[in-house]
Amino acid sequence: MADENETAPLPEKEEEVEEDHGHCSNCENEEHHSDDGEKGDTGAKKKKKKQKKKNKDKSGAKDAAQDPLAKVNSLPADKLQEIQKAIELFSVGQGPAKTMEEATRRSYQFWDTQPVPKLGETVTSHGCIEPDKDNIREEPYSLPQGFTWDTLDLGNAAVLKELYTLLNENYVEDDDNMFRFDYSPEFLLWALRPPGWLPQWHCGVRVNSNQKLVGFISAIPANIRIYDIEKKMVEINFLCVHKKLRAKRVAPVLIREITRRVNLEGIFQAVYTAGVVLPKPVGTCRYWHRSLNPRKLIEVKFSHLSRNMTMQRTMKLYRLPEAPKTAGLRPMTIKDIPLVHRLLKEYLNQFNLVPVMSPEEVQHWLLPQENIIDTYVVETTDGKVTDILSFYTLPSTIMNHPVHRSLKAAYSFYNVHTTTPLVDLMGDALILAKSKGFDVFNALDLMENKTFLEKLKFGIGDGNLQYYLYNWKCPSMGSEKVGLVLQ
Amino acid sequence: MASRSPSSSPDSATGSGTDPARPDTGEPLGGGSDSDSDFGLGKFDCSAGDASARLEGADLENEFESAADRVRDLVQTASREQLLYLYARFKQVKVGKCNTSKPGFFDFEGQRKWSAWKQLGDMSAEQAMQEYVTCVHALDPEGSQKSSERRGGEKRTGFGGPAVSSLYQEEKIREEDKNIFDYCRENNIEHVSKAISSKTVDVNTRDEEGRALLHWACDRGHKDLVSLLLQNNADINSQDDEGQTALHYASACEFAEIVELLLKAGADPSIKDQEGSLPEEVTESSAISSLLRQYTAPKG
Repeated sequence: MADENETAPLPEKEEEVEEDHGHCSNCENEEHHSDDGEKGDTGAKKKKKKQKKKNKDKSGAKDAAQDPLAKVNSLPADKLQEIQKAIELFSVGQGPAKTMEEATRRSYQFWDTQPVPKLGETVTSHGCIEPDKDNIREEPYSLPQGFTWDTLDLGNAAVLKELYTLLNENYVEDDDNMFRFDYSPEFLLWALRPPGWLPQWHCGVRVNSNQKLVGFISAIPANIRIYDIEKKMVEINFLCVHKKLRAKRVAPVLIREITRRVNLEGIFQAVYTAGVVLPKPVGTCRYWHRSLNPRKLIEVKFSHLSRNMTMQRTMKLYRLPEAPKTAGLRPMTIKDIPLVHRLLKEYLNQFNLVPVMSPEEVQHWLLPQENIIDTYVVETTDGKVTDILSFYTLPSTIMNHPVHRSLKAAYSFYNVHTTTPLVDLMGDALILAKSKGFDVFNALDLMENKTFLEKLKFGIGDGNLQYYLYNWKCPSMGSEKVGLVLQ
Repeated sequence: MASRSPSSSPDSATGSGTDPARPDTGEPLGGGSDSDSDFGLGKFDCSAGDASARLEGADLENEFESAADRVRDLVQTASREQLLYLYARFKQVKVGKCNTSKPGFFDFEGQRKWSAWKQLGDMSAEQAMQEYVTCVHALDPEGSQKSSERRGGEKRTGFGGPAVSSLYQEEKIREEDKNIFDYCRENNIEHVSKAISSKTVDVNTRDEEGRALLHWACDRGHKDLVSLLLQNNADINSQDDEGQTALHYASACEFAEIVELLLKAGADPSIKDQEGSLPEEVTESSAISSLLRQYTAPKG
C-alpha cells in the first residue's frame, strides 16, 4: 500500500490491516467494528458489559448474518457519531508491535477473547487454558456479505495455482517493499500436505461474484512435545488476506473458522509463529544470514557495504571451498528413513518445544525434493548414518530491481550431529547451498545454532520470529530450547 | 536497528544516492455516511521551536526531506495530534490542496488524516514545508544535528512461518562530510571529473589503506568512472597496502568488462599481491581467469 511509504506516518487502519497476514494484533479492531456494528449502540458502560457477555458466551457465540455496514447506514446521524467516537478509542495509536515493550503498552481486543496468556503474565504452570469443548459449533462463521468459504483442493493444479498467486502477491514482505516470499506451488504441497492432512483445513475465502480467491488460512497436523507433555496439535500457517480486503475484518473470522474446524477433529491446541509480538510468545528467535553471493545481496540491498569496506574484501571474506569436507556426506535416500528417524528423535530430546515425527513424517519432511528440501546424511565406512543436515528452499521475489528478479534463500531445517562437529556440518551445508546457486543461507538462533552462527560468518538479521501456543500455558523458554522449525 | 553485517564497521555507510519515490495514499476502502468531526488541529502550536530560522528554496526542500526521514523515528514518541499535524503538511507539500473525497465511515484513521489535511485549504507548499521542519525540530532538537542520516525503514512482518529479515541498513553521509572517495564509491562522475580537472584532487591520491580512486571504482563496478580515471592518467598498476592492483579488485569482484578494459589499457596481470596471488587467483570466475591468462600468455 502506498501509505507504507509515506514519511509522515500515522497509525492507520489500512496500514494496520496491511500487515494482517495472520494473527496480527489488528484483528482486535476489526473484531470490534463487527460487534459495535451489530449492537448499533455503544457507550463505555455498555462496552464493559458487552465484553463480559462475550467472554461468557465465547464457546457458543454466533455472528449475525446481517451486514453490519448496512445496519450502520440506517442509524441516525448522532448515533453514527457516537459509534465512531467510541470505536476510535480502540484504533488510536495501533500498529503492530515489534518489541515486547511496545506490546505491553497496547490492548489486544481480539486476543483478549482467545485462550492465550496475557503479555504481563508470568506463567509457571503447564496445561490447557480452556478445557476441551464438548459442543463445537457445526456451521461456519459468517463472512462479510459477498464472500463465501471454499475448501481448496490443492490436488487440482488450477486451485494450487490460485493459492500460489494469492500468496505471491499478498503474503509476507518487508516494509520497504523490497522482498516478498515466493512459495512455489510444489513447496506449498510439501508444507500443507504432510501425513494426516485434511482437506477442510485448507480454508479459502472467495468473492461470490467472480469466485476470486482473496483469503486463506491453513492448519497442518503435528504431534508436538511441549516440555514433558506430548499433544496432538496443528500448526497454523499461511494466513493471508488480499491487500484490498484487509479493511473488512476477515482475518479474525479466518482464525475463528480454522479453530472451529480443528476443534471438530478433537484438537484444541495449536502452534504458530509471527514476526510481530502478540500475547504471549513462548519463545523468541532471531534470524541470522550468511551471505553466499555477497555481490548480488549488496546490489539488491539485502546487505550493504559500510563506508570503507570494499566489495573485494567482502567477496574474500565469504569465499567458501568448492567441495564439502566431511567424508561420507551424501544425499539422504529412502533407505535412510529409519536411521534418520531415530537420530532426529534422540537429538530433539534436549529441547522443550519439538515435533514428534513418525517415520512417515520424517519421509515427508526430510526426504530430498528438488527446489524444496535438501537433506544430507553422513555415512561411516561401515554403513552407519551418524549425522544429518537439512535446509529448505524459499525464494523471495525482489521487487523493483532492474537486473535481479529472485533471491534464492536456503533455510536451515533440522541438523543432527553425533560424530561430526555441528560447526563442520553446517560449514558443509553452506558449501552445498552455494554450489546449488543459493544467494543466502538463513538460520534461526534456536536449538544449538548459536554455537556456529558467528564462527561461520552469519550476520544478525533485523527480523525476529515469535513462537506461540494456542490454548496452552507454560513457562516461556530461551531460543536455544526451541526445537521446532516451521516453513 | 539492531542488525549488523559482519563486514560492517563502526563507520557510517555510504548511501545509494537518492531516496526512492514516495507514493501517496491510495483511495481508502469502504463506503459510509458522512460524519464530520473537528480535531481542533488549528489550535495545535508547534512554533516553540526555532521559528526564526527560516529557510528558502532548495535548502528548504532538503531540510524538509531530511525532517520527513526523521519522523519515522519519532512516531513512537510523538502524540497523535503532532503526527496529524505533520501528516497534513506532508500531503500539502506532496499533493497540494486536499483533492480526495472523504474516507468511509469505518476508516477512522483515514478520516482524521483527511480532515487534518483538508483544514490546510490553500496553504502554499513553502509554508507547509517550513511548518513541517519547525515542528520536527521542536520534537527532536538533537536530531537536527544528524539530520542527513537516515536509517532504512524498519521491516514489518505478518503472521506466517518465516519472517522477512535482511542485513540491510542504509546510512547516508552529509554532503559536507564526504571526501573524494565517497563520491567515487557512489559513482558521482561529474563531481570526480571536476575535482580532478580543477586539480583540487590528485588522480592518484590514496586512502588510509593505500587504495587509489581507481581501486574504488573497480571495486564498485563503476566502468565509466574507471574510463575517466584512466583518461586522466591514473596509475593503472598502483598497489594498495596489501599489494593489490586495480586488476585484483576488478577480478575479485567479477566485473569482467572492467577487467577487459584494464587489460586493454595496459594493466599488468603478472603483478602479485603480498599474499603472492595473481589477479587470476583471487577470482572465482573462470571467464575472468581465462581472460587474464590470455593477456599473460605472450610473455610465457
